[in-house]
Amino acid sequence: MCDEYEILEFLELDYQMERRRRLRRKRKMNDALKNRQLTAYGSSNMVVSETPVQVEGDTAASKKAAKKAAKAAEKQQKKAEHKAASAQPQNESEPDTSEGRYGVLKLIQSSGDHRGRVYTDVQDLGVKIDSQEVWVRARLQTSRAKGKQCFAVLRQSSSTVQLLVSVNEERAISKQMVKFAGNITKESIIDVRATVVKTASPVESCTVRNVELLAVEIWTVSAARPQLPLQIEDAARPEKSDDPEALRIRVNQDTRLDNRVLDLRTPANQAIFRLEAGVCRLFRDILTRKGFVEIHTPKIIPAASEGGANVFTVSYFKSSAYLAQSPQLYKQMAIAADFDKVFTVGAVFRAEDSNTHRHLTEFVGLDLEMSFKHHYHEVLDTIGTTFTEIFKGLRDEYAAEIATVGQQYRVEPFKYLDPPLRLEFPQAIQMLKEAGVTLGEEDDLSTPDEKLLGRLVRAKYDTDFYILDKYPLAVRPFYTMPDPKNPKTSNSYDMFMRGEEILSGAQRIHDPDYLIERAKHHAIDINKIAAYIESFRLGCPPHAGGGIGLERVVMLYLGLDNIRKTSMFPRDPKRVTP
Amino acid sequence: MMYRMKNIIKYDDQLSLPKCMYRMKNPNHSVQPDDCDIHISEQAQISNNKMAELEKRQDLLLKKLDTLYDRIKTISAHCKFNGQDRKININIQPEEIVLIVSPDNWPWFLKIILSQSNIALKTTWHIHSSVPNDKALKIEGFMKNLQTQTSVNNAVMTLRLIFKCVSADTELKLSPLAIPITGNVNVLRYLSLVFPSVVFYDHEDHTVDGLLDICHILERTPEKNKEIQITKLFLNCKNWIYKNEFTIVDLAAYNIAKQWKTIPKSVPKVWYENCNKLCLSV
Repeated sequence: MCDEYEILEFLELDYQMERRRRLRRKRKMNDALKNRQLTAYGSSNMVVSETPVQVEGDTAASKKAAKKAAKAAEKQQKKAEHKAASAQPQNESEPDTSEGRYGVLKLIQSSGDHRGRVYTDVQDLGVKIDSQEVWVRARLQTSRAKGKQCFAVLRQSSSTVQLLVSVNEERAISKQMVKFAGNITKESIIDVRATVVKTASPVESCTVRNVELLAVEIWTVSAARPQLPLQIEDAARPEKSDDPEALRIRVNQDTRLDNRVLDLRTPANQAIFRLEAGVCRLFRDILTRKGFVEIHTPKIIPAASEGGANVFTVSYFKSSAYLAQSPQLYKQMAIAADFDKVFTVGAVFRAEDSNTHRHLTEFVGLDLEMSFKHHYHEVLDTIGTTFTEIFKGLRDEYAAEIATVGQQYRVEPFKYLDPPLRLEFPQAIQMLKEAGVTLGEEDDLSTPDEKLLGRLVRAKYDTDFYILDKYPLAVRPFYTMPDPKNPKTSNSYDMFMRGEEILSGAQRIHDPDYLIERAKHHAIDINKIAAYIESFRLGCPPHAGGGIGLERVVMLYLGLDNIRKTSMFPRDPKRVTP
Repeated sequence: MMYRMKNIIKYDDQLSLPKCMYRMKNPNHSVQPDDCDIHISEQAQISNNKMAELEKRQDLLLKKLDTLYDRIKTISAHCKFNGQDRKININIQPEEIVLIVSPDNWPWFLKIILSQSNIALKTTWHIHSSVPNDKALKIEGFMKNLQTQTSVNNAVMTLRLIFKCVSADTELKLSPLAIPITGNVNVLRYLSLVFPSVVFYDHEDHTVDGLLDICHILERTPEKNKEIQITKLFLNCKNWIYKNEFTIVDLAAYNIAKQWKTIPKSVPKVWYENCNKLCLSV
């Protein structure tokens, strides 16, 4: 009997707790909705919905409603008048002790004022500078004024810190200053002179947890408009949350891309593009150390580089030209011009009508080309080790950025082997066969085959990056050097990250006659590639190379699901702005 | 037989019973034969029928058993099992062996296998991204010590070593779809079947398997229980653990001993020095 009562009591308690939880959740959602309505539509518009919509044949009801609305409006007006009246004598009677220490700063036109002022970055605020006075320029992320205090959060790229503006006679902080702070619109840039104060307990909602800023001066440098098209808080919310009470408001991709300036301010985006800059920097540094020379190839070209179907045409004075699909022709010309090892970082344009998660019409290409002595594996090893060094550099130097991205988008750490894993095409066919997918020895891998192969390689070798060598000759472009030991294979390779192709490369045919023979075999009109063939008639060393897409590499390294997340202002068949 | 009397009261009219009440069965009409009466004669007939059926079934089963017995006899006659030929030759030659090892648990057994193998073997090694930079140098040193042959013409088999920091257990993978072989002792069992000329492993000798199991337990046992396992293992050890010759048991035990910082006193010094000479001098 005793146990039954206990069980009943427990069930009752559980029910009460659940009820309280639901009420709290509802209140939170209502608050959030109210806030959004206030900022998106302006507080004045909230009142519009009081007058009901007129319905035909309902004149009596509408008259009543109109009377009611008129009474409500009169009531509000009286309230406002009373407030103004009561506020005025207060304002007149209370002097502003903070006058001259807050307000809107004069437009900064490089007049020379305050050049000696030293600003401290938010990420450098800490217990070490406790009790010191600092100047900080940051964005006002949120503010909440209540009575004689205003709590605000300042943000500078990915770092946030709490700011407290509190009425204080000793420090001469007036009510008017607190009110001013509470009325600054979100996302405005402000200058704050404040004292760094150690907090009693860590501030969990900020990245700087052990200290907060106690305001002395507040100046608005650049005000943001009150109605923002999206809230940074919503855009920065984790995609999947374990907390059942967490808000489920998310911003969809199109809204983000339409308001990219705001969307890029989120901590995750700040981290993604800093990491992307890191990939580019590491690519440059590693290749420069290996003796490569950076070149810049033209993007307006007279003929299509590869294929010809996927090029953008531009009007070029009285004729037409094309936007370069790849810098390959110019890389090879640079090799023929005795540069030996070259790389280029530049825009690549592909007029492919592919609306997928991994295609863009314009992206940043990282290309390299290298001459070798006897075997194209000298180039393959160089490309492979370049990648592993990039991955090591990202792991060691950008761990904080990777963690920040991981807070919004759940990712699995990227795994790789050093030296990189290299498999041959027949091995890949065998692995796929064991898994139930049969391919001929001259068949190309489809996207699902590549993804399955990626999973099999991950299961056996525990790596997300690998090289696949010795592709069938039949599926490669005409300028690919055939394998002298096997007429069906070629000296070409692809590289994969998380089961998706990131690089396609090969040893190029550097003999003009052999090139003509291969072009004829592919039924390519020799006249159209005459200039390309001509460049090999002046003596050219054996060479090989390849190119990668910067955005795709970053997307796959972080394990993100869409390339538009790693392109600052993406271009695809349906998007040309911003 | 009795005399009849005249009816004193004649009442031939039918009694009309009320329809509003529910009807009941006439208890006098529903007299059933007494179940308690034992009709022995009838029972005797029933039990006889059942017995007969049982006997029939028994006969059928016996016939089936006889036919089965005959069949087994003919099949065993075809097999011609000769008790003298007990050793089954196992020929394992995989194309690629992937060995995942931890840099905290060096695979010392590879030294003797790689140096004495008569199979054209190509060895490659990789450092996994989970390994910190300071351990990478130690791995390079270990691999130099192994003196592996990376470029071998017409290699029949590839051994791929991956140094990974995630789990301390050595894993041997042959296929992405198969379950890996885990533990140094189990890996050694497999490798000795692949390289039978290097390390002899009689997989039908239960004593050897028992000693290998002790090695497997010794690798995982906490510090306080080690002595018991070591004592069990070296119970009959003179120069070598088993049969006075170098076997897979010695290699497995030596590999475990090499991981320890200090060799316990219960491990025979003579045995350890013999193993050192054999394994490290190749």
